[in-house]
Amino acid sequence: MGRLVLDKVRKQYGDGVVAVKGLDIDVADGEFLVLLGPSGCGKTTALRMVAGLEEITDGTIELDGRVLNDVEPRARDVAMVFQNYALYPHMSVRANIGFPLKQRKLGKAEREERIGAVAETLGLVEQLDKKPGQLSGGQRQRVAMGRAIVREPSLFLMDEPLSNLDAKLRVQMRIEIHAVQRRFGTTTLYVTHDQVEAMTLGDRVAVMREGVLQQIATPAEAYGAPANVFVATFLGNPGMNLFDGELEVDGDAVAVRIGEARVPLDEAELRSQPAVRARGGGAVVVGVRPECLVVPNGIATDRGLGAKVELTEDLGSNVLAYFSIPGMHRTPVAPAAVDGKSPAAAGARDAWALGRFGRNIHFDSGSSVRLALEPGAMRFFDPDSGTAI
Amino acid sequence: MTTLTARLPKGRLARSHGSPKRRRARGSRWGYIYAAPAVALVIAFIGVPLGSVIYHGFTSWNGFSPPRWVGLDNFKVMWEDPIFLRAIRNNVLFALSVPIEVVGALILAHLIHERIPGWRFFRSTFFLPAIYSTVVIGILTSVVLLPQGPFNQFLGDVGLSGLQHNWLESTGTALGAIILVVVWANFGYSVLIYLAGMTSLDPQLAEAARLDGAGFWKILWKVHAPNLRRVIELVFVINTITAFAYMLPYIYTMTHGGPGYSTFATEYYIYETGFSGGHLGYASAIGVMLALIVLVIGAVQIRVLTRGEK
Amino acid sequence: MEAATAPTARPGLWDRMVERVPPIHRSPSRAAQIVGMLLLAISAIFPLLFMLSGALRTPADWNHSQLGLPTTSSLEAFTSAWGSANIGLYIRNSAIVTTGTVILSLIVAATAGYAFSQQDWRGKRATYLFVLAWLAVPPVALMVPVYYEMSSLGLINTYWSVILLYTALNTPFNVYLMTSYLRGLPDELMEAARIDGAGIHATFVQVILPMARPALATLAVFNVLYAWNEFVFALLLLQTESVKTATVGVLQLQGRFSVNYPVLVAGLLLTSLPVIGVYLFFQRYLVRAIVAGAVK
Ligand SMILES: Nc1ncnc2c1ncn2[C@@H]1O[C@H](COP(=O)(O)OP(=O)(O)OP(=O)(O)O)[C@@H](O)[C@H]1O
Ligand SMILES: [Mg+2]
Repeated sequence: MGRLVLDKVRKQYGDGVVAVKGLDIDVADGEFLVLLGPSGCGKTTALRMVAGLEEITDGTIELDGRVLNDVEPRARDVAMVFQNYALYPHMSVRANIGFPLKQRKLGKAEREERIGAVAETLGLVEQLDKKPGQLSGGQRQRVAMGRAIVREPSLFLMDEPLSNLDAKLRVQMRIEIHAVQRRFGTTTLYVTHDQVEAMTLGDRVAVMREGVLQQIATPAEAYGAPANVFVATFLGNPGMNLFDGELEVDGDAVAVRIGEARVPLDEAELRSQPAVRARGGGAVVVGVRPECLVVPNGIATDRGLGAKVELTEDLGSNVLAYFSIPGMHRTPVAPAAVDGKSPAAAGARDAWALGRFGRNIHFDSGSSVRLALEPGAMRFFDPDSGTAI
Repeated sequence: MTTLTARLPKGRLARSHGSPKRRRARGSRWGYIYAAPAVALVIAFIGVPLGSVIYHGFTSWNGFSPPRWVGLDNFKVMWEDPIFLRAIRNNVLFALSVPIEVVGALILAHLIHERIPGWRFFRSTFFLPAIYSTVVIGILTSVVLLPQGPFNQFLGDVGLSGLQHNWLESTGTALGAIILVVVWANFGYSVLIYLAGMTSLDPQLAEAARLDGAGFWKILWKVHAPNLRRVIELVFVINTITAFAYMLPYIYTMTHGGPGYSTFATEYYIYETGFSGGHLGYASAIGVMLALIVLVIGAVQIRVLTRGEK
Repeated sequence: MEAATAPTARPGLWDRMVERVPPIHRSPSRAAQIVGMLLLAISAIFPLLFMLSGALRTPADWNHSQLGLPTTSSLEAFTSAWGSANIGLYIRNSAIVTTGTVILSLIVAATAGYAFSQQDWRGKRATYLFVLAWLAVPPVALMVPVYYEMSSLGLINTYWSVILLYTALNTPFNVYLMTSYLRGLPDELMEAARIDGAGIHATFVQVILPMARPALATLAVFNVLYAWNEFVFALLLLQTESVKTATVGVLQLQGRFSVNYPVLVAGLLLTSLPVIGVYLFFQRYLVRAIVAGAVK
C-alpha cells in the first residue's frame, strides 16, 4: 500500500533559495513516477523531503493518508536508493542488506531468510560475504536495491540511481529496476535527468523546472502533447521545433501561416486542441517534433513547407538536417514568458528548423527541398505565456 | 548554551523558523549529550584550573590558610623579582633553539623531499627523538655529559681532552646543552610538519624551477620557502611555545635550574615557588603570566588551525 | 565508487608524502649532505644503542668504559631495575594510566566528534570553538590549581587524577581531529542509516564508529605516546610508590650519589621500549595525527 500525496509542498533553504515551489503530486499505489527536470530544478530536494531528510517549509506530504511532515525518516516506511549507493563500506553485502532488518530487531533466522530471498532475486548470492569495495558498480547498485527491497516498504525513493554506471550497465540495470518494481508493485518515486530513463520507466513523468511542476502525465502524453514550450523543448533529443505562426480562422477552415507557407490544420490537431479554433486568429507558437517533418516523396500535400538545407549531421541510425525556411523564425518567445529570463536557449539557433530522418535519406547542403508535416504534427502554444492552447 | 530552545515543541513553531542548514540528524537534545563529556572535561580540568589560577594570582596564599586578596601585588613584585626576570630571560634564550629548528628542519625536510639516497631511512629515524620521553632524554643527556661520562671520554679518545668540560655544571655550557637537546628532541617533529606542507605543494613548481636551471638551494629558498610560509610560521610557533612552556622535564632532569639560576625557567619557578616554597598565590600569578605569554604565541596557532572553518 | 571505499582504501600517507617528486640530480655537496644526515640519524639511534650496551654492562665495566661494546653481558641490570628498583611496578602503573587515558580519550573524542560533525543543534559551532580554544592554555601554567583541585576531589595518588587530566588536556586536539575526520565522511551514509531505521545511537555504534577506525587508531597512538611520556603532572599527582608512573619512577635511579648506571640505563630502556614499539608498528597513524594537527 502506498499512495503518496504532495500538497503545495514548498522548500526554502536557510540561505533563501526556494528550491521547490508549491509542488502538487498524487502518486497512486504501485505507480512508478519519474521526477524529471534539468539540473538544479529541485528534484533531489523534493525527494529528500519525502524521505524526511529535509524539513518541509510549507505544505504537506501524505503517505496512505498519514501526514509525514513531522514523522522521523525511519518511521515513514520508505526506502531510498542513493546515487552513490551509500553502502556501508565496513559491512559485508549480507550485513548491508540486512541493516534495515537489524534496526527493526528482526530475529536472525528471519533476517537470513529475507536476505537470502533478496540476494536470489538480484543475483547477489555469490557476493553475500564480500565487502562493497570488492564489488563492481553494477553489483553495488544491486546491493543498494537489495537494501531497499528487503524492508518491503510502502515507497521506494531513488535519486539518479543509475548515473554512476557506464552506458551499457545503465541499460541493463534500468531493465532490472523496472522488473523489480513490477514484481513487488511498490510505489516508486524516481529522480533522474535522463529522459530515456524517464520515458522507459515511468508510468507517469513529472517534469519540473526551477522548483515548479510543469506537467505530470504519461511519457507518451508529455512527449506528444507537452503542456508548455519548456516541456516541449526539454523532452526529446533534440527537442521540439518552435515556430512563430499566425493563425487564420476562416469559418470551418483553420490554417497557420509559418513564414511564407500556409499550413491547414488537420482533423487530429483541431480535435486535440479545440481552443485553437476558438482563438479566432492571431499570433501563436507552433511546435513540431523533428521526426514529424517528412520528405513527401512526390506525393502531393497541402501541408508542405519550402526549405533550404543548411547542414546535415549523420548520427548513424538517423540523419539530422537543419533547414532555413523563407520568412520563418524559430520562435524566441517562449522561455521569456515562463520566467522572465532571456530566451537564449530557444533563440540561439538562428531561424533554422530541425528535422530527423531515417538513415537512407540524403540531402545536399544548399539545395532546396519541400517538406511535409505529418498528420497531427503541430502543437500550439500561447506566445505570451508559453502554455499549450 | 540555550538548553531551553532545545525543548521547543516540534511542529508549526519550530518549523516556521526554518532550519538554516541541511539537517544531518534530528533531535538537538542528543547533540548536547554527545558533546557533553568533552565540554565537561575541558571545563573541569582546564577551565576551572584556569579560573582558579587567575583568581589566586591576585591573592597571597600558602595552601593552608584561606587566600588573601592582594590585588596586583604579585604582578608588581614579579617585575622586580630578579629570579623571575632571570627565568623569563632564560626562556627567551631557550627560544634561540627556534631559528635553528625552523631553518635546520626545513633543510632536512627538503633533502628528504628531494629523495636524497636513503630518505626512507632518514624519515623514520629522524622522528625517533620525538618518541623518547623527555625525561628519558634528559636523564640520558645528563649521564652522557657527566664529568667522567661518555662524552668527555670520547673527547679524550679522539685526542681532544683539552675540550673536556663539566658541561651541565658550568654556567657557560649548561644552557647551550639544553638548547641543543631540545633542538635534537624536536627536529623530527618539525621535519614531519614541513614534509606534510611540501607534499601539498604543486610539484610542478619545483619541476619548472629545476628546468630553468635552479639548484638545490635555489629551489629551497625561492620555491619552497615562500610557498610554505604558513607551515614555517606554524613550526615557529610550536617551537616557541616549547621554549616557554615545555622545558620543565629537561631542566628537572639535567640541571635543576642550575648552576645558579643559569638554566632556571618560568615553569620551574612555578613549580619551586608553589610546591617547595609554598607561595601559591605568587606561583599562580607566574602561571597567569606564562599563560598570557603563550596565549599571544598560541593565538597564532589557533588561527592557523581553524583556518578554513566557516 | 569512492563514497563507498574512500575512508579505508587510502595509499600510505608516508609514501604519498614523498614519492611524487623525482629524485634530484647529483650535486657536489651531495656527499656532505648525506654525511650530515647520517650523523643525525646516528644520533637519533644512539640513545637506544647506548642504553642497550650500558644495561648489559656490570658496574665495573661501566666505570671502565661507557662507549663501545660491553665486555661483559649481564642481564643483572635489567633484573634489578625491574625488580628491586621497582621499574616493573612503574611500568605497570604507566600501562594502567595509558590504557585508561586512551580509552577515555577515544570515547570523548568520538562522541564529541559525532555531535560536532553529524548532528545539528543550536550553539554547535560556538561549542566546538569553545572546546578547541583550550589549545591555547599551556598546561604547566595550571600546575598549582590542578594539584589543589585534584586533592580536593580526593584524587591525588590515584590513577584517575592523571587519566582525567590527560584526557582533558588532549581533548581539544582529539576532538578537532575526530570532527574533521567525520566531516569528511559522505553524508549519504548517515542519511541511509536514518532512513533504514537506525536511531542516533545505533548510527553511532554501527556506522560512525566502524567508519572512524582510522581516526581512532591515529588518536590512540598519539594519546598512548602522550600519556606514557608525560612527566610534570605525573610528578605532581602521583607521589606514592604504588601509583608512580615510569617517567617519574626512573628519576629515583638518578640519585645524586653512587648511581648504579647500568641499572639506570636499563630502567630508561625498559621505560622507552613500549613507546618505541608503538612507534615502529604504528608509525603511519602517528604521522597522520601530526600532519592533521599541523597542516589541516
Ligand atoms: N542544502 C542546501 N542549501 C541551500 N540550497 C540548496 C541546498 N541543496 C540544494 N540547494 C539548491 O536548491 C536547488 C535545487 O537543488 P536540487 O539538489 O534539489 O536539484 P536537482 O534537481 O536534484 O539537481 P541535479 O539534477 O543537479 O541533482 C538548487 O538551486 C540548489 O542549489
Ligand atoms: Mg539531484
